Amino acid sequence: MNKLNKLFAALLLLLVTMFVHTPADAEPAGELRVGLTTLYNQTFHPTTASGYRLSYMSPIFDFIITTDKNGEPDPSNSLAHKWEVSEDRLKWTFHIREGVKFHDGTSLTAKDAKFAIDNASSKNNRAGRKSDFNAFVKNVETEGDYTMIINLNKPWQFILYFLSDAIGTQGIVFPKDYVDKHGIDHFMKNPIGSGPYRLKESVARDHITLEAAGAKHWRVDPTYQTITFKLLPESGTRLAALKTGEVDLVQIGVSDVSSVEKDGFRIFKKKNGLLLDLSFLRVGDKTGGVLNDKRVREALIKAIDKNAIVNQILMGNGSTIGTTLPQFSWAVDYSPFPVTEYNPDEAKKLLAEAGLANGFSINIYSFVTRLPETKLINEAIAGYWSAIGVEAKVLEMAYNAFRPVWVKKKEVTGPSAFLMAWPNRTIYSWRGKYFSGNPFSTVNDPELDKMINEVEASSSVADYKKISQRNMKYVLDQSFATGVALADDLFALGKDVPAWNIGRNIQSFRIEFIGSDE
Amino acid sequence: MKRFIVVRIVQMFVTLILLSVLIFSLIRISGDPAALLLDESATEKDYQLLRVELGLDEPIIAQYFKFISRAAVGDFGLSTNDRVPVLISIGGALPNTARLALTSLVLALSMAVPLGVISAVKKGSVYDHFARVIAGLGQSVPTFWVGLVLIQIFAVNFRILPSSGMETSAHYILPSATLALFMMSGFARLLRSSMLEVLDSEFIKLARIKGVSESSVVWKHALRNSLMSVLSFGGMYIAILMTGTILVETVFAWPGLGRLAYEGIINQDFPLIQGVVLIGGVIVMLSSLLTDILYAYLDPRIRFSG
Repeated sequence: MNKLNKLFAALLLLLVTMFVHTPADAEPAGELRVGLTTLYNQTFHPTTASGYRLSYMSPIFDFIITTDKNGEPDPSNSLAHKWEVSEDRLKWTFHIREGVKFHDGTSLTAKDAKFAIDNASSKNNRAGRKSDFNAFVKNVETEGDYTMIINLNKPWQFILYFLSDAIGTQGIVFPKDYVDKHGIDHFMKNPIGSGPYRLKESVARDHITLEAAGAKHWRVDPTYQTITFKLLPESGTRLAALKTGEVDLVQIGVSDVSSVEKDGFRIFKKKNGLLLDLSFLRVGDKTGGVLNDKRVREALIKAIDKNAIVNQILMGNGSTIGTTLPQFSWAVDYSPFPVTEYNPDEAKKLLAEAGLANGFSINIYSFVTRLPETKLINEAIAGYWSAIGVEAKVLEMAYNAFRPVWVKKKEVTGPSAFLMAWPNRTIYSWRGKYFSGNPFSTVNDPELDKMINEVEASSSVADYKKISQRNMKYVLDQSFATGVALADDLFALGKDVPAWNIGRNIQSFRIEFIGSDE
Repeated sequence: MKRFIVVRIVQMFVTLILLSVLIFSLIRISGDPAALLLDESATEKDYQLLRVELGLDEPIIAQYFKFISRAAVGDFGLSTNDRVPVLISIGGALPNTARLALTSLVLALSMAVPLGVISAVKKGSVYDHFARVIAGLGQSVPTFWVGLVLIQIFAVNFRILPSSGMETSAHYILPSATLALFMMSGFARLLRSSMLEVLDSEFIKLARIKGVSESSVVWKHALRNSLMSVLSFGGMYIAILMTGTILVETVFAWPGLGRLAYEGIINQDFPLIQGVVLIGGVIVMLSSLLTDILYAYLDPRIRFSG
């Protein structure tokens, strides 16, 4: 090849490089503005505040384990790219990815991963699940720069999920040296992560702006130059901001769907994002009263028309369920339990058998946490119970006023029940929900306590699933609680926002994946 | 005058002590902060440890004295929600509320004064009826609703103003107007009745007999004297403004003291609620004190009777 040909080839190569711009080479551009109902407390330390801050934390940080769009631990997206477990399942070895840098240019090592677990186990952990970490983790060691070993007190089937973005912010890895040098208070406001975006600005109770930390990231390349999370607590204001183009993506309620669709915006659903379950309080205790009779509990459950609740109140944005287990959990794929039959006649018969043909009074503690329609559903349940002769009083209150009643620090004034909208979680807290004497337990039943001890001692996920299914069958047979419905988490999208896989994790929108090839 | 001020300051301190007892007791009665902060998988032991950490295990009297002695030096503790010193959170939110309140006050007065004066001068006319309807509406329509309607009209339909936030001066217009509408109504009604009384007084009749021009009678002599009654309600309006901001700041996503208080209540963040209420109380009382001093300065009968 002569010199002229070489020059021509070089020029051609240059031209191709300049003009052929594949999506993979795309630079982050533009801004995505997201309207959220809460920004929690806008501190960025993974464990000093709520674990539900995932919407804006997951783009800034990486997790020891990251789950894929189906919610399964995904080594290709995780800081731990490989892991092994000992035969007795008490020693887990995690191999931390080399070459990952924090935003200040320092290297992320096993020491930082250990630091994350130390923080999750600390008494200062406000992100939740501290008790689980303390119960299972004996100690954490590092070997060299990129190996972390977790020694357990007892087998922990769900360790991978607890170290992941599935549970909350506890699995986030953040720089130990930086925190040691500047202190926790400094880190809370000036975080350094290793994620595809970094914090640009945080204005208290107003907005959080993230900016792309570079054009490339080992987990996902940033699509946008900036992502702004704007606090819009009032639903009317949120919709107005969407319609005026001030935000591109907002959370909406069931009642907003028709108005949003009429204005030409797209509705995007996180299917079955919320699990609504009805529990009776103090079952098995002296204060449980008539609810200590299984026939009464069964009657109350049979009197509820779950189909009508889903169709009329949730307007079809959900489905009925027969269990209180997270039915679509990816951690343990439970077999579905049949939906309880709506049978008011049978309910009346059961009440008569229990000697309560003339009915009785029951309180429904009614509060709103994640689903505004909860109050309406409570009113509907009161109506169904009234139809079988039970006088249901709906006690409207703020959630924080109910909590002391729930954790038994304030006594109930008669037979009582409550409906809770839970994020459709991956792991079911048997001990938290049903173990006698636990603050949040609604039941005092030695038989169930024994069964909970068994599920916790299970040696594999398959075992756990089998025993969980058995336990849930017992809970349902005893009518301790009932799942009423699964409700969809709803979002409205601006016209320029591409749909993305929102995943199945609680409170995580996987915002950083919008516009990615995934 | 000195004695008057000293007496008012002593009264203010007594009120503040009473307010601190009230807010401290109400928070404890309304719920257990440890119960709200507890992790769902927590045990009874975790609950007891949390109570110790929050200082809730101590006798209630000891808790109160610890709280009040620290509050006296501006230390309201750490927010249980975000572990940020309460005073810092308040310090960040207060200027935003102050800016909103000041803009609303200016807007309210600039609408109320002409409305009140014209309504009194043209008593019984169409103008009077119109002004009274506007004033009546402003006080009877919920602030929350007014805010949403203004957003729908000016942000969504006409697209001429932003719906929420506080980035530019344009962001001030809708929340200020919402808050101002309520205040304006009170001011205008007060001013109207005061103007009617003053316009009927002997010195106004004398001014007219002496040939002082009607505009001078109304806008100089009558208005100046009528404003005294408006001024006397100044302290009360600051209190109304403080409570009004909770709703307005929620609707317009305004990061001020009102939203801070709202979040404190939702999260049962007791150090934050205590701090916001006490600081809010100090602001209201100081405004009331300043109003009283100014009023006493302008009207000697007050300071002598006081």
